[in-house]
Amino acid sequence: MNYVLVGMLISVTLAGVNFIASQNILSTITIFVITNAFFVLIVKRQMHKNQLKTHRYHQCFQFINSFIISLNVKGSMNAAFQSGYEITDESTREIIDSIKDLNEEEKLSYLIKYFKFDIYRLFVDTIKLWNEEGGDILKMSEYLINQARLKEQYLLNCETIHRQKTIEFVVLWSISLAILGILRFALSQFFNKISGSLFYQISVSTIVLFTLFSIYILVMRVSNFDLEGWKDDEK
Amino acid sequence: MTKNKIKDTIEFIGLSYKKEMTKVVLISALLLMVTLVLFLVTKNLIVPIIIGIGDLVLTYFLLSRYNDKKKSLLKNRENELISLISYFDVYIRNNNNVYQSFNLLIPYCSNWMKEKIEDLLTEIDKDKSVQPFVNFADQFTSISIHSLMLSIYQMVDQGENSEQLTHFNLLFDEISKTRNREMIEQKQKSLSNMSTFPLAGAGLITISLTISILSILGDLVNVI
Repeated sequence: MNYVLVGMLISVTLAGVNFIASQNILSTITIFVITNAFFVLIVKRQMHKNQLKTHRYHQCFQFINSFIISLNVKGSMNAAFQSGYEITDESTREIIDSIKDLNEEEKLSYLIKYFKFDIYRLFVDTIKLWNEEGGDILKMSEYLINQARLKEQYLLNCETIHRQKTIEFVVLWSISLAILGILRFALSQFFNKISGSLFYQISVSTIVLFTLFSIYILVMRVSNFDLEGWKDDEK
Repeated sequence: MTKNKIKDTIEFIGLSYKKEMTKVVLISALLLMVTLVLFLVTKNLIVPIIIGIGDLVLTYFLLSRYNDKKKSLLKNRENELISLISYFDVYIRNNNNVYQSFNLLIPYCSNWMKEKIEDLLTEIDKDKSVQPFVNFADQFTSISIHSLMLSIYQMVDQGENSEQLTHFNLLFDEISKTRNREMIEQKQKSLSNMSTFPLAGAGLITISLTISILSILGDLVNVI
């Protein structure tokens, strides 16, 4: 999603509501600038971090799954790694391509830097153990796959909840702000008198800034989920 | 909350009691000064009373947030332990014994958990009874964690045979599913609260319009 574009759309909406309700150019421009800066400096960064974390976990989960199934069927680390490679996206393939000179176990260990999740480290430990002592890889990794699947399920559930609640939030705010706009026309005779009062001007700007504050809280809550091992300053 | 309870809570979450109390007192003093100045300037009691009530509410929230932080810290520790036990499960199934499996968990631990697991391992070295496991479980409030640690002790006592493993897995699966359900509910709850913001916004719009219109009507009445 293009957050700069969304930011621009919301800036225009909030500035528009502020202008319709207060007819004050100075506060309208200030709100437009603050909202744009907020989206570029905070929302875009935060949501990018969020998407990176989620996307990387999906990749990690698919890689682990594909690797283990292939290792069980073909019994070869090389074929299993190739199978994991094929299921990943372009950016992960670029990382794997840059280490093609290493052997499979070294490649898996190297990818700990990329898939910075505890579950991946556990997967590497299990594969190392299988490499050293052999055994039934499906049995050895049964609980590992179960845990990875539970986390994947949790992430998918979170994504659905985020979508639903964000839509709900946008609809409710749209109705609330529409009331402000509609009342300005419905009470046009009073409006001409109250628009000059400092209290009313400050109130309108405070309400618009409060909307922005609530968007900030929403972004923080949407980004707040833990994937063990991953730190939010990861690249 | 009594003074000692507040002090214990603040120290439990790793903050300095003196520093935190200084912050609360400074904020309250600042609001009191604003109240006093407003009273002297406006000679009106209503605004200072509103700010005074606001000050009391704010102080209550400032003090109660330490308790919320403590609860959240305890919950995070329990969640971390449950994640670690799922890794423990993988290690124990791959022919490591209980001691080795706990040792292998250390790279995945936070500093606090690392310290507690190292203490557990040191205690196991000295004492082969259930006590080290009970002591470790005492760090957590959940009863299910006590049951889990007792189940792990049974593995030490009676060997990691398939019966013990099945018992442990049944118990752990239940805890793991409950935790997952709780995490999703928590997420849902935290985002459901977001709908109060637009409602509060609508309330603010109504209040500000009402006050503005009433002040205009008041002026008109005065003119008449």
